[in-house]
Amino acid sequence: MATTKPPTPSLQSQTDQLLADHAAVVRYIEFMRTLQARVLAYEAQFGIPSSEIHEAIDDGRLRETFDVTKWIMDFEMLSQAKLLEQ
Amino acid sequence: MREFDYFIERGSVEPQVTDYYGTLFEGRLLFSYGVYLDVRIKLGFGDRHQIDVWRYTFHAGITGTDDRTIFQYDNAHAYTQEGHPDPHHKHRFDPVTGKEITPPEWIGEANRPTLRSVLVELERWCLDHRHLLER
Repeated sequence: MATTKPPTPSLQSQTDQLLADHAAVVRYIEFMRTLQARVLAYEAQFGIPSSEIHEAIDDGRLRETFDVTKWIMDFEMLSQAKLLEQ
Repeated sequence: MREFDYFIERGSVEPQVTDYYGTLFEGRLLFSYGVYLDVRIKLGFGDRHQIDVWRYTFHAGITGTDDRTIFQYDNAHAYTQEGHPDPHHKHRFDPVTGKEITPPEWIGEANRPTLRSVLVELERWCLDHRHLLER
């Protein structure tokens, strides 16, 4: 059975792809830095470590405002990113 | 969203970042009388590799000297002590005093809101409380 070889991408398209991948990685790293800074700012603002958010809501120390839901989401994303790094 | 063009004055919800687990969408939509809707949605993959909403928070409010919340839907925290079987709930607020009506109301995963359902509810709230907005 005859097989056809897939066409080799041109040097230009390979370069474009590499640059696009690199830009995505740079954006991701910048976002993770922003996330880290935001989580630290929330901890300072509310005076509670991120590991205690849920406990603090349950015992009434913290009200679940929009900022607090963002904090929970940021902390989760940061924790997931740290898990991947390990 | 086109069906709400007459209702939304400006703003958008845009993808912010994509990580290994999914994509984060965020934005603020603005309406008449200083009413706004803050949206944050984390999309990921579900059990059958379908695209699914992992986390969401829809926060409707009114800007002004006393920025107040109209309602908030989210699944960020599970109110297990209040008997909620899952984290999908709604924070309700008194339209006159702006004070939260506690505890949050459990809505359940099957009834979790979408951007569309929240916009429909917010539009209805604005119509029902026009007398408060026009003050």
